[in-house]
Amino acid sequence: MELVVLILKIYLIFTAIIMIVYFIRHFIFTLNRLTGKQRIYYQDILDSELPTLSVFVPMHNEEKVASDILNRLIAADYPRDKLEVFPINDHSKDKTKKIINEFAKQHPFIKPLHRGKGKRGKPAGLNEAMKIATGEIAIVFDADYLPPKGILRDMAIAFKDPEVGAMMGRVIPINTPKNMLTRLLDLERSAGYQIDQQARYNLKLIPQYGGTVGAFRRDQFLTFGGFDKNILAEDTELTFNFFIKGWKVVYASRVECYEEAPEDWNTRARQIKRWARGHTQVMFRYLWPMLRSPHITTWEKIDGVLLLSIYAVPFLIALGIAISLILFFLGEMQIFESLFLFLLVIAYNTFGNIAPFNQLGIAALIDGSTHRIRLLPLLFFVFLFNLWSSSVGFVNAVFDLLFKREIRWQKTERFRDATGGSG
Amino acid sequence: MTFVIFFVMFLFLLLLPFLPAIKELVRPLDASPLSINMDYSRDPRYFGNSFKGILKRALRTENLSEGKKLITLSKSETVEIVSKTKIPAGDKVDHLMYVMGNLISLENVTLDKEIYVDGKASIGERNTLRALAAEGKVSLASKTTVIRWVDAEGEFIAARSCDLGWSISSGNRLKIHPDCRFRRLYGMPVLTSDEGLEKEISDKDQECEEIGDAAFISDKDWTIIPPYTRIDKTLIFKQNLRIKRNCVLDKDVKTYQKLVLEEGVRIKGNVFAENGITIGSSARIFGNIFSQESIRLGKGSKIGRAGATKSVVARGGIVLDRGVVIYGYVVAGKRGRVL
Repeated sequence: MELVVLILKIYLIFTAIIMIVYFIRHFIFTLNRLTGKQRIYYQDILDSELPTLSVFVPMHNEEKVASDILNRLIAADYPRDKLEVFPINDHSKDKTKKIINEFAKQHPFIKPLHRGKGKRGKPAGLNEAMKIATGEIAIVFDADYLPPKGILRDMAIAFKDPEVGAMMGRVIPINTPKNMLTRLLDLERSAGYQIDQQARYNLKLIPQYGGTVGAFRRDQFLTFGGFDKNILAEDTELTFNFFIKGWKVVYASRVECYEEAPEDWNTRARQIKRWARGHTQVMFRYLWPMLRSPHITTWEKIDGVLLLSIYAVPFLIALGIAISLILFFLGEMQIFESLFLFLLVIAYNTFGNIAPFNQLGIAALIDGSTHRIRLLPLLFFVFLFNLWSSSVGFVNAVFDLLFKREIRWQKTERFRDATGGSG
Repeated sequence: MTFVIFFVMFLFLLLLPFLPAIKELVRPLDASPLSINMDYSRDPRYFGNSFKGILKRALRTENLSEGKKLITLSKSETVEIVSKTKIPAGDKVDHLMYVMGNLISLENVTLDKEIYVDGKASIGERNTLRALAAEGKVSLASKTTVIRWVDAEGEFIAARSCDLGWSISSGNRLKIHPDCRFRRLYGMPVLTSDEGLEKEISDKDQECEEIGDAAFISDKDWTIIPPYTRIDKTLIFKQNLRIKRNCVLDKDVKTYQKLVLEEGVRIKGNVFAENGITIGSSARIFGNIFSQESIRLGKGSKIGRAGATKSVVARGGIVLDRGVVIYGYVVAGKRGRVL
């Protein structure tokens, strides 16, 4: 029994250390955004010699949103002779195919890819489309996104830098006012992009390509052998593939695009579970190659480990909470002597999130949208929700690894009505 | 009873942190999505084009007659319409102007509001000018201060010691003289005065020796590429890089530290550096130049080529020596100046 208690205590200390490490990481990011040197993106480079672009829009039953994004891409100011758009109709059973075909009839640069056979899912669809595309740069938008007129040029210009393999823009929810969930997601997105991604770009760590509002070099991507159809986080996979091969991923805060955030908790839970599962799959596969890569600096490796492990943390914390309860009822909770340590752990545990409390507040401040910080205490509930959803995703990834399970892609439900409004 | 009081107090204290959040949910003050300008399209002449569009829509310019009018822009404004005008020395104009012909201002004039000129604009010495859009040539006499922007469809010339505000753009040549300060310049091309310079830069490559990496000279901080070297691959260095005189690079170059290009270096691709970039005299860069710190362009250096747009962009300052030619756009995050 004493040995069991000792192991539980060691685990609890391990959990505390993890929380402190992440707390420090995010605190450094926040401080960097407040007081550090801010690296600029390349949007001020005007160059008449632009690369050719292939824009990919994966679509599975996207009749509610397909017209909107295609209309936005038609309005883009990128030279037509250097642009091709691939709406990827991936086994849709609704009117997606009809909508895409109507657009293609009128606009020759829209080249539909209809998939009715083979494995369904974003990675499989993108792999197929990449092979028939001709653009030097690949750009991916999810179907619910609304790209502004000038966004393609601002994305493409990053590739004038010979070291940039991929770039990532900023995602902003358009349906923020809808309900409590969308308002909280808006805060999380702000922190994730305005603080987390920008700080990682500033500090030359690992900004992440996020799978949408992102671009990458198509020829390099093809040398990686495409996306693994069994990985649910093709974006994280791509990020680490580029870093491991010596390329960089850059973040562009000014390259902003609206998305539709999930409007109900079930949809959000499924989304987090998919992200957590996919991200953890990438961790299992790429952690060691990343640590061994000669192209990645020590600081990038440290950040890479923390980034890859991020969805393991909620599971480890949940386990830690369960163990602390066991130890409490066994009368064995005399672990932390230091008040400082105790306070750090409590701070993270109370307000911790994938984007912690301090990040959210400062992100709202930088965005000049400060009244929304009154919502911050509600993130306590989001923390619990994310703790559960991420843990389920993490456990699923572990089972995938152990039992070589077949992965099925789960699409995020859309809420927009036919007139373009949300819900 | 005590239990009930304590229970109510407990509930109140538990809910206290959530009260502002509940209030924000019920009566939101800040629920709108963050704003994105969906029609934004990068245009180095945005200020001029936008102002001209707004003003002409407000005035309905088909049948304009001289006199003052009240129009609504972002707020109600008075606009004076004149066929042509010569503003006397020391005058102050505190309203918008629409000049159907040419504009001349004498010395020490203050133009507090935006001006549109359908012809040429000649701004006198020590004027202070908020913003000006002109369809013809614009010239600023010495020591003039631009508060915001100037856009000229024709040539733009700034004499010595002008402060060129936030943005100067031209659909034609943009020439600036020594001791001018600037933030953004756009012209085809942007030129600094070439007084005292002897020669035009040739577009022809010099004879160079092709070498491998082994011939690079490296120590702890610097890598040096010997003179007259020709390299036809992209170079990426983690340390400081000095490219000695008359080298030719056929592709891009990037350093994580400082980058020094000596006299006569020719680069056919783009130039990127995390630290300062110093470009020697008579250097020729065909691509863009981008620095996360500062950029200094030496005498007679030439960036880009006629018929294409390229950019010189620095997070910090930009210093332009005499005889510099840039085909396109110059953006200094801090102050730029001409030597």
